[in-house]
Amino acid sequence: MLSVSALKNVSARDQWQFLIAFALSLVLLIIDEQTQLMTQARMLLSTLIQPIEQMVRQVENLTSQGNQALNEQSSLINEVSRLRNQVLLLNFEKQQATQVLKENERLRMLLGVSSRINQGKLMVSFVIDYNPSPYKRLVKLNKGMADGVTIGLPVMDAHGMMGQIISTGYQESDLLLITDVDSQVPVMVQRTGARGVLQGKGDSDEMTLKFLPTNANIREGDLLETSGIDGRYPSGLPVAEVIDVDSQAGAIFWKVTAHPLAKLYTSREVLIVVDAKKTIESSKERP
Amino acid sequence: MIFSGGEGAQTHHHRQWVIWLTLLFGVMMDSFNWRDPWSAAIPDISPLILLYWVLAIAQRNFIITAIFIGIIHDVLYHTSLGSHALIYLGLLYPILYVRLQLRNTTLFQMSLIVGLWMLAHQALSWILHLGRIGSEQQLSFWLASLVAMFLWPLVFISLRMLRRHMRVR
Repeated sequence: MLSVSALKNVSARDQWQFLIAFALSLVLLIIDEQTQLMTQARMLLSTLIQPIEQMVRQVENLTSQGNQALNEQSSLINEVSRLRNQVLLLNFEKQQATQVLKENERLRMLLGVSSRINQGKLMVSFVIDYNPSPYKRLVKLNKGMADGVTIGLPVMDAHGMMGQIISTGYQESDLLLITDVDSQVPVMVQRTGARGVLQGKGDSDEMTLKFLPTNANIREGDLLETSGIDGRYPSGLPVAEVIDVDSQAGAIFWKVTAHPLAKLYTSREVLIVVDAKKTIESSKERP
Repeated sequence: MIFSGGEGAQTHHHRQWVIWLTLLFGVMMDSFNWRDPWSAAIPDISPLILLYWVLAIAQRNFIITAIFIGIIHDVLYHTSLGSHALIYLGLLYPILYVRLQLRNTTLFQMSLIVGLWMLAHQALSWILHLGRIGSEQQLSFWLASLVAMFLWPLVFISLRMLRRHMRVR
């Protein structure tokens, strides 16, 4: 209960300031939610607080792996890093080969699914931090505008699709993981070609496959790959494995739960698919 | 009285940078990644630091500071610009009404109130970022208010020592 004396704590000036501040924040929120006008402002603010983040990251690194790094020879570190990149690229090529085999199989089965797997130019990047927010599933990468990274580029690790770049700084960029609630990836079931949309749930290891009609053939263990339909992701990139299929009587769509193939929280090296858009265009040209 | 410091009546407006420095420390703590699913149980530290200064410096209303810290959090957490500013303003306003009374409560009572205050913080965050918190972090997210309750004495005592030492008024 507020007594009369308590009311003296807040002057008329405070009340006006509060009202104006509240209105301004609300307007800012609406503008940011409904328009793209704040993208530049956010980029600028993000660059301004970058020194703070970098300082924190240095403390994080010191606490987590500082001692280990100090004990190792720098040449060894470089060598390991080079070999890791090589393994990553080899794994990726192996993955591509599997994709091509599967694709051939599908074509032979005359399912009519044509998927051109040509990943374009790949750029190796390192995960430098994870976003501390419980509201967003984000990863910070060490490549930015200076390296040719732009908003919308897909990112993979050696195991599968990780997500998409949603903002870029000069030398850093933010990757929105496929498990974020804002992430939607058009996918198809590798075995049958049935299409749906894979959406994040905000959990670290589960996603939901939406809009897959109950007459489509799907079962646990099925692999889901990008269908390339929206033009943001190239087709044929492995995304997730189906871990649960459920259907309610009379439902139009399956209730499918999937597990991401990419090691979203342990992969340190990732691949940014740089000319993804070009890949899509060229695949569209070829019938 | 808890706040009865040994400072003289002289004001030290030039010491306001101490407030900003502590808030910067809070922001750094908030951007620290603990790399654990339970990290959501660690409450945001900067609102707690802001709360301390609101209680300690009765001459200022800290409305602009709240907006500033809110926008920094929006950039840091990649949430919609203005959402955290709204949350902090909503939490600050009732405190402005009762801060003189709050100063006269014991540290134990204040901790309980801070726990409830943080619960309101989590509730407002939950509403404004509806559906963004996955099922695995739900429990730890709400636990943050309890953690804030236990953390408050530490925040309060260390900041009071700093305030008295630096004679921030």
